[in-house]
Amino acid sequence: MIVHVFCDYLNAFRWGKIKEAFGNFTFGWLFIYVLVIYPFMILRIWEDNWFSYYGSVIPACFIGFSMCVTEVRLPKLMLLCPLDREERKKYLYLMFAARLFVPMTPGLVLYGVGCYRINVSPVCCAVGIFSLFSFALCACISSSWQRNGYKNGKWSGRRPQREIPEELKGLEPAGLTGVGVGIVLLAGSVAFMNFGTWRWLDAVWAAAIVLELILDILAVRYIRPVVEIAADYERTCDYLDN
Amino acid sequence: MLQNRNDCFAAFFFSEKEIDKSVYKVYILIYTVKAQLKDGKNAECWKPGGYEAVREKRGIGMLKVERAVKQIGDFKLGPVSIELSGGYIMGLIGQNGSGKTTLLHLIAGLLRPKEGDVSVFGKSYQTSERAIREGLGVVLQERMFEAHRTLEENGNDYGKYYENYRREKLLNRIERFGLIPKQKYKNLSKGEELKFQLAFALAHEPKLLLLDEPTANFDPEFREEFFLVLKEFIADGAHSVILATHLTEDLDRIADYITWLEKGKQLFSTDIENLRDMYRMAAGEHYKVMLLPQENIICMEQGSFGTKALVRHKRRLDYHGLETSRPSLEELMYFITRRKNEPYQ
Repeated sequence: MIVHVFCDYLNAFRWGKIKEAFGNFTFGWLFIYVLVIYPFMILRIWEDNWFSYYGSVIPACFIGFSMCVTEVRLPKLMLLCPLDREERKKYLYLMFAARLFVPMTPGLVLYGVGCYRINVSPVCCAVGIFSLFSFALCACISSSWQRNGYKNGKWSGRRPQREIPEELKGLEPAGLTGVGVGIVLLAGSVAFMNFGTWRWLDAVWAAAIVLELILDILAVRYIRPVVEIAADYERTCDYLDN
Repeated sequence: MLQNRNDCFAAFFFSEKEIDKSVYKVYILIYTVKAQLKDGKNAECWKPGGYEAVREKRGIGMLKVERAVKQIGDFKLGPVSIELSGGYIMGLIGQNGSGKTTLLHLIAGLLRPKEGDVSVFGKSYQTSERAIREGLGVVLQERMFEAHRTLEENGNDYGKYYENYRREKLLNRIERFGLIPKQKYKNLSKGEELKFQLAFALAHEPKLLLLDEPTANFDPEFREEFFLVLKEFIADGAHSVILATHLTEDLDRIADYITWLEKGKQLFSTDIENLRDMYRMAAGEHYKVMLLPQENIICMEQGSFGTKALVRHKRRLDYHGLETSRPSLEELMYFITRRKNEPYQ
C-alpha cells in the first residue's frame, strides 16, 4: 500500500495538475507569502544565511504544490477498485502524510544543517519549523476548499457539504494565525530593527509557536472527518459528479 | 435390474429377495449419491465453505437486490428487487431520470440502500466489499481515468489494485477495440473513452459487468464487436452483464432479462421471452380494436391506416381478426410509457 501511495503521489506532479493548481486562489496567495514576505522575515532573522533560506523557501513551495496538486479525495475509479473502506481510509491517511511530510522532510533537514552551521538560538530554529507548519496548514485549507469545489475564487458545482465549514473552522484560525503572526513579527522586526530588542522579539516568537502548536493540534482533529468523508462515495459524490 | 456399479455394490449386501423393494431403492439412492461424491461431482460442496464456492463458480445467485430503496434529494428509487444468475445479460431500461444509473451505483456499491439489501456473488458490501469489487467490472458515463496519462499508464495505475489484472490483456483489448495504448486519455472521444473503460473492465476478469449506456456512443461497426464481446463474456455461464440503456433494439438482440424502471419505480423484472409473451401488438380497424376487452388494452394509437394497440395477452383472448404479433421491446417501451389510463399491474 505504501508503495502504491508513493507512486500515486509522484504521479500527481504533472504539468496539467500544476496548471490547475495555479488557478487556485490560495496557491497564488501562498506564492506571494513565500516569495515576498517570508524571505524578508527569514533573512532578517538569519541575516545572509542563504542555505537556511532555501531550506525554508523550497520546501514551503513544495508543500504548496503538494497540497494543491494532490487532493484528499479519491477518484471515482478508485472507489470502484477492490479496496474496503478501511483500506481506502488507510490510503487517504498515507496520502495525507506523504503530501505533508515528503516536502517537509528535506526542509527540516536543511533547517537543522543551517541552524548547526550558524549556531542560532533554539527559538530561531523553532521559527523555521513553525513557518513550515504554517504553510502546511494554509495548504490544508486551500486543498479542503479545492476538494469541495472551490476553484478560481468561486464555488463550482453544488453547494459544499455541511461538514466542510466545520472542518475549516478548525484549520483556518491555525493557518491564518501562523501567517498573521509572521506578518506582525515581520512588521515588529522592521520597527525594532534599530533598537536591539531581539530578546523581546524571541519571547514573542516563542509565544507564537506555542499558540500555533495548540492550534495545530486542534486542527489535526479535522483530518479524520476529512478522510472519513473522502473514503465514502456517497458523501463526496456531489463534488465528484460535478 | 442392476445396471451400474452402484447398483451392484448395493446388491452385494442386500438381495432383492431378502429386503423390501422400497428399502432397496433407498439404499440404491444413498450409494449413488456417495459414489457421485467420490467421483468428485459434488464433492466440493461438502468442504467447509465449499457450497458457497461452487455457487460462485457456477454463477448461481450472482446478484440479488431485495426491495432496495434509495433516496437522493427529491428522487426516490425503489423498492427494486432483481435477481441474476451467471450466463445472462440483463437489460435495464427506462426513460432518462428513471433511476438506471442510481440502481447501477447501488449494485456497484457506490451508494448504499436506505432500505432493503444488495448482495453480489452472495456477499454483502458490509462484510465482503473487497471480494465483491474484485469481481465487478464497471463502465460508467463519466470520465473515469486521469486525463493526462496514456491508456496504458492509466490501466496500470488502477489495475495494480486488482488481483487478476494483466497488462497484456488490456493491451490486447485496446488493440482489438482500435485504440492506441500510448494515446493520452484526454484525446479520446466519448465513444473511445467508453471503449477504453470496457477494455479495462475486461482486463481484470470480472464476473459481473455493469454497463451504463455505452452503446449510444459506439459507432455501428464497434457495436457489433461490442455485442460479440458480451456474448463471449457470458458464454461460460459463470459471467453476467447488466446493461443500462434506452436503446431497446440492442436489448432485443442480446438481453435475457429485462428490468424496467419508470420514475424510480420498478415496473417489472422478468425474462425477455416471458415479457414478450405477456403482450401482443394488435393492428387493424379501429372498431375491431375497440371490441377487445378494455382492461387488456395497455395503450393504443390511431393512425391513418388503422389502429395499433398493445394488448395484455391471454390464451383465449379473441382478437376479432386483428393482425397480432409479439411486440418488440421498443414497441413495448413506447406504448407502456404512453399509457395514460391505468397504472401497470
